[in-house]
Amino acid sequence: MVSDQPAEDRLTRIINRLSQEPQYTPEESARLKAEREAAFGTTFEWAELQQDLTIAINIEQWLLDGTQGHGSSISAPGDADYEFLLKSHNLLKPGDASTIVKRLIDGVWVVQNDSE
Amino acid sequence: MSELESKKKIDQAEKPLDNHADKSEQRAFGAAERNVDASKINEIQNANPDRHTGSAGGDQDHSIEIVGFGATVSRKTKLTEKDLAKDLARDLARDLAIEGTATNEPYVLKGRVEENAITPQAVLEKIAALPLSKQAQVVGAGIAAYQQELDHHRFRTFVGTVAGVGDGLVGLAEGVEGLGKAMCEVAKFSREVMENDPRAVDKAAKAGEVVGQVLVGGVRLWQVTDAYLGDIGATGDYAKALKDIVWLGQQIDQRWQAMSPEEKSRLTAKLAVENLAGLAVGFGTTKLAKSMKVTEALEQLGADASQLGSGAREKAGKFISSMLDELMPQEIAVTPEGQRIAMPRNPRELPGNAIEPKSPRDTAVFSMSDDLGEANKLPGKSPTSKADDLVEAKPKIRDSDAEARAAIEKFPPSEKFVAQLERVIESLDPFEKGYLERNGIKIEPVRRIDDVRPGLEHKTAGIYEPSRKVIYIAEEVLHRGNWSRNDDLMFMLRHEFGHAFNATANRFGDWLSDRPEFIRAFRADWEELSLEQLDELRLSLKFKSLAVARDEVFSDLYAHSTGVSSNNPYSLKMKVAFPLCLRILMEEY
Repeated sequence: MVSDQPAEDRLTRIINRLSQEPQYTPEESARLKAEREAAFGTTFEWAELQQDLTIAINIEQWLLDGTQGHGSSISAPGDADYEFLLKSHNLLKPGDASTIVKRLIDGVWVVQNDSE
Repeated sequence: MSELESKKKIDQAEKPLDNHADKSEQRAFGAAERNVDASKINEIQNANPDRHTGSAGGDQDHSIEIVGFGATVSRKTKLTEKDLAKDLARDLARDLAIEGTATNEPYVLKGRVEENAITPQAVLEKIAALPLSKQAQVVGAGIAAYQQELDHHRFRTFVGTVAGVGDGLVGLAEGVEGLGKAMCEVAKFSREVMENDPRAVDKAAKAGEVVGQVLVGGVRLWQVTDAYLGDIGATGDYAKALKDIVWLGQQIDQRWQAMSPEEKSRLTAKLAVENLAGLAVGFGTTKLAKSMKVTEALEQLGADASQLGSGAREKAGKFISSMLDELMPQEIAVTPEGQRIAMPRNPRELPGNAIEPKSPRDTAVFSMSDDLGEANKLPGKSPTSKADDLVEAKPKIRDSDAEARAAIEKFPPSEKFVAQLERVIESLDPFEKGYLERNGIKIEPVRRIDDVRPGLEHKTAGIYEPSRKVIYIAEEVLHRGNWSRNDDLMFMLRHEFGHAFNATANRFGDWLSDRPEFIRAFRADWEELSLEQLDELRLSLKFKSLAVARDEVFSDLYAHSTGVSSNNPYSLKMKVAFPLCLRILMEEY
């Protein structure tokens, strides 16, 4: 038990359940922490051409201090950003999806070549 | 010709006859005739067709008298027109004599010509005085006349009939046709903006000016167009043009509603100072700044101004035009990378053109990131980008609560949004609110995310900042190339709560998504997905580590576990892809 909250509290029950097994060693915790920190300074922009030809966008972004940002939008034909999204994500037919990855390098966001 | 002139001509015509008579014969009657008896006189008098009957009194010498012009003319007092003119001139000169002017100077008749024309303002006021339905008919007819679909005789008759002035007032009809032309120009501008036609760029100012003139004429443009489409229907003859004008009004209102109260106040105050300075009367600009529909407020302002003099009307018209110029849909431009972006009317809206306020009273409208110049380029990227492509400028990190607080205070979210977010927070389950309180996690509304955290994408609707344990939720996000209201508050808040919960719940420091049981559920779901699916969801190892992927799955599935739905297709895919993780969080597994 890691929480002193009432048993009927859903959050407490989730915490209790996930905390039942032994805690990690400091080394294991450090490794997991390092894995997470590897994402700092990264942006993922996911886009998919929907069946109705709208483009669904999803953004995940990490700043260097670990701040996580999220956003989403739908762009329809005729919208200001539609053609650009279509072109930049190379969306050719409904169902096509891609992710553009940007890394914060020396203070500037740089599109990575391994973007899908 | 006057009777006096007729008499003179008759006198002249009789002269030749006189010439043939001797001096004695120059009398009306000869000696024989003069020595006649009474019966002969009566006989002659009875033969006179103008004989005086005696009913009006007097004798035959006064059978005809002309009284007027200060004299009486009869058979006994024979005056010519010339005699009368002399007397009249003398009398008038006496009456009108200016000191030092001789009264016997030739009289000069002076006068002035008054043009009986109807001004554009009068046309608009005449139309504005009509009921809305009739205004709509007149405006529609003006459009048709301008488009030469209605011959001018029929048009004048129609306008005169509807306006209640008969069919003879050509000036009114011409004015209405002018209004029809103006409406067509505004409609054309609307259509070009709608279709991203670059020609709209040159017409924005003109369209704003035209609308300003119409409104200060008292014509409630958008109410009239609404009335037309409502009463006559969307299939009416002029529906297309009027629909475009309605669309323009809606766009203007949307842009207005997207502004914070502070922005609205600043913009209104700025333009009022620039355009209404010196006016003794107020136009209720403070009330305008608080209005929900700026088009209605501007119509009211125009109607008020229509009751004032031309100077005040002109200033009010410029104020309205300036407001519309700020609020009309933005033109679309294409960046060198091929991206179509909305061209800000005010260059300060561009992060790259950040301008510091000249003074604390500077009424410029710009976001915090613009203010501080911390984001120096529009987000954009090329599909052919190389590693050294610069797509955005260096983001700075605000490293103190005070700085973030100052940013929010300087450019606060709207009161409406603050109230809306409070309701969303209130909708959290009591244990969620209790968790936030116990763990010191705050939720802060902000106008735009990069007001507090420059460098984040403009599409970002919410963030969790672990170092200060703050969840920021944005009022505005970049949707479809324009700043729009954040419409995913319920889910977004719970997603960010999921991140905060994941990171803070375990008192030993490890994240809940890293705990063995969640890892097993995640792995089981993950293994069911093909590499293509993992790539599509950017969950494969080439995108991110498993620890990062689990954190994202945990947060998103937590939000789904609360029963709140999302309008984000990506999030819906996540829900389908990780059923076991969802069941853990829903306590069903």
